[in-house]
Amino acid sequence: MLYIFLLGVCMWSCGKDNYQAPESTLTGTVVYQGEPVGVRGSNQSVRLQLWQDGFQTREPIDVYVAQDGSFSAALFDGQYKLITVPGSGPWQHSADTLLIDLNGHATVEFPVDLYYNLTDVSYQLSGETLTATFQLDQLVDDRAVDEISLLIGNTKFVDLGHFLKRETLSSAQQGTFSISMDIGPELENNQTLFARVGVKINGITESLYDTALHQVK
Amino acid sequence: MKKLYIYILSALLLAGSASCSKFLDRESEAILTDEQIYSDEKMLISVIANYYGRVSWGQHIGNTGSLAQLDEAGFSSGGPNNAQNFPDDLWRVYDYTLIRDLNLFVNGIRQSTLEEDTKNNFEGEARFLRAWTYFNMVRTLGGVPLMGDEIFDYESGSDIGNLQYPRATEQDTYDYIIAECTEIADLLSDEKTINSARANKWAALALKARAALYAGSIATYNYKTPDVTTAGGEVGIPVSQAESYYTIAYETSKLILAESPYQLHENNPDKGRNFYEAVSSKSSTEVIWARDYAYPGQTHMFTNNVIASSVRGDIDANIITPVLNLVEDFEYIDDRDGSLHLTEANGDYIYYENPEDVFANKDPRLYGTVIYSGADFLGSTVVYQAGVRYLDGGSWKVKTAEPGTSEAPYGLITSMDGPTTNNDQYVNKTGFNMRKFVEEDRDASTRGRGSVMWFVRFRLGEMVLIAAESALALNKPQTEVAGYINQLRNRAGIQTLSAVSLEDIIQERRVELAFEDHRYWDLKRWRIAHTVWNGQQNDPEATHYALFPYKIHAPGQANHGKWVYEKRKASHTMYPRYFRFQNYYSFFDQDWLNRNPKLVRNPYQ
Repeated sequence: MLYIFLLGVCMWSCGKDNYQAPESTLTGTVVYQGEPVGVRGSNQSVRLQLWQDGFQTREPIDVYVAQDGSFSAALFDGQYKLITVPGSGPWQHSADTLLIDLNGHATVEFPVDLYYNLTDVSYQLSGETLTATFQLDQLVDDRAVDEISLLIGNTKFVDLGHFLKRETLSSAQQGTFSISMDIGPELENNQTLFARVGVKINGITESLYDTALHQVK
Repeated sequence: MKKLYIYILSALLLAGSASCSKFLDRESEAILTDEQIYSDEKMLISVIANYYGRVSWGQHIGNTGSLAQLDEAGFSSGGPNNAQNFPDDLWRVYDYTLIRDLNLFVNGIRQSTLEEDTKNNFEGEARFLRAWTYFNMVRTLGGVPLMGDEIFDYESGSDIGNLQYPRATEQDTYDYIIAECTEIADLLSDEKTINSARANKWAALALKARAALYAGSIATYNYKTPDVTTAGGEVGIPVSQAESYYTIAYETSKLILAESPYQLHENNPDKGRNFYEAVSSKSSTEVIWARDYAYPGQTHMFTNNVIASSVRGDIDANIITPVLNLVEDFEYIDDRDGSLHLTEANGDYIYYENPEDVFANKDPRLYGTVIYSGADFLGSTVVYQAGVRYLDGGSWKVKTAEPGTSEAPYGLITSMDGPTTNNDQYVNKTGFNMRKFVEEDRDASTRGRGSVMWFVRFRLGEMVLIAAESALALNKPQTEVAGYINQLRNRAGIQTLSAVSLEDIIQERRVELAFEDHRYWDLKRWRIAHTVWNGQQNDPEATHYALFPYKIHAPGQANHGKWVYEKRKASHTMYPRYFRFQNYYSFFDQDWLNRNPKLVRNPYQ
């Protein structure tokens, strides 16, 4: 008798306590002039925020950006506003919001204004020297580049918080540049190696990176 | 029988209900009225004791892990610590419940019927705690709503807009703290208090000096972080204000140095022991305000947590241990570069006869802060040994084992005190143990008894440093600035300086005030936290390092039985310290923003 009672309570309470899980998805990419923007994907370093009107209290949903500029969130259907978070990410904080009408599934491109743009990144391994060549474009006048780094790591996350070896180039603002690094010991000691270029802008926490990693080994 | 029972029961009930009214009209013995409290000094002490117990924030020994967040110590016991950055709400304080309680006290005490001096002292203490609370808020959050002496009463239906105060500017918040401390300095007694636990005039002036120094340095250095600012001044102090703040800091610290009953502690001719006693002994002559503890009833587990394995009284040990970075930042008596000499220029190890020889001639303050290999503690010598280095067929090999294991023919392989790199609980991973704030009593390291060691909040050593830094900022003559720094260096037992720059002050504060809740706030107010703790692998300041001593086993050779040392990345701090621009000011919790729409978010939120 007691057991039936307890079972009944459990089943009855289940229906009252559990909320539906969100099943709609929002996916997207952070882009500059149509091209994805590469960032640090580890440690939830770079984020955007989703806000939704109509509720009594306001609580944003953080959307973290991956290395290749993509992001996704599991949400309920509704209308959302996607914004940049001031200082998060190597782009300018904009007051513009991207309005998203979510009904099941939506894919968006989130345009941002960069300070510098990194394009045409190519990597060359000759013997034990890795060389990266890239184009750096200065888009604003009031920020300098602290330094540009060629990073090498042995996992798929390569950024200024996770690297094995690093070679830097300072005083580069605009133009085509290349950085070379001797990776003999790293090639010997690691099964896989990935390379990536990162641009550290003065006063901005997160660097701008190459969208794609290059697998050296 | 049953009927009789019912008759008796009903008779009792009737009797009971007849006296019901008097029962319900009793005076409460648990709820005390304002008149009862504010007319009785003992009552007031118990009320204010509660407030004193609610103001421990930031880095303090009641929270062992807080001492391992920066570049002073790391986690040792158990597995590696994988924190990658500073949290957005590290040491954030927002305690308006306490502000209201203190305001109630201040208003109540002003109407008290006690003697003028007693009333004033209590009012001074409450306002001091209030100013201290605001100080702890402003140093994490920037400008916060200033309630003054306001106490609100809320009735359902009234407009809560009046209860929602906007944030004051960062400058106004510091000004309020400084103004309060100036006023209460005249209300508070100027005598020393027992164990410096209760505030007095000098504590109020010390807070004033520190607050003014912080405001002055933020004003001076926040040009380095131009994005860390809000349009309305809630964050950011204009550089034009720097000089007036530094002047307040300079004058107040000089007043404390000249007229307070405290002196730099110099009672012990052994300089190392003297520094330990200056901070960690309740007989110190220089502590102005401390969070005191007493047994039984108010003890803490810091000694239990951080004690070295070989001298522990219980099973716990080595929860956090100092890192090599701090040890190498202590200068030598005659050499400003404090790096340990571990290898020759060609990379060969340097061999030391005794474990403590590598620390010979180091700043005696190192002895008073950190236990290093060969140092004494509680009557025994603590010797760290990571393993044994022996020759095998002409090449050197390393042997390590479980702490405390011996094996023929090597003898002891790994010391009870480690260090090791495994994930064992209570085992040392960095090669050092805490000494500052560790009680020299085996019972204090037991779980049952706990420690009564105090946590020092204000001491004269800090006032000397405030005088030096503000004098430097106000372009006082170098002889004067150096005079202050040299007071501490002479007391410490190291060479004096003839010229002082900001780097020297940063260095002196680093070693003098280690573990005393200064480092984080100092690097923030000088706006160098993001360059020192830059989150980059292998950066010497952001990465934690450990010191692994090895005993040489090479019978027949000259170096048999000697020691070599290896500097290595600390295995138990996986990531370098990463301070981002958003860490300069903690985030405002969304909950607070929802309740008070007048609050402005901090930068990067």
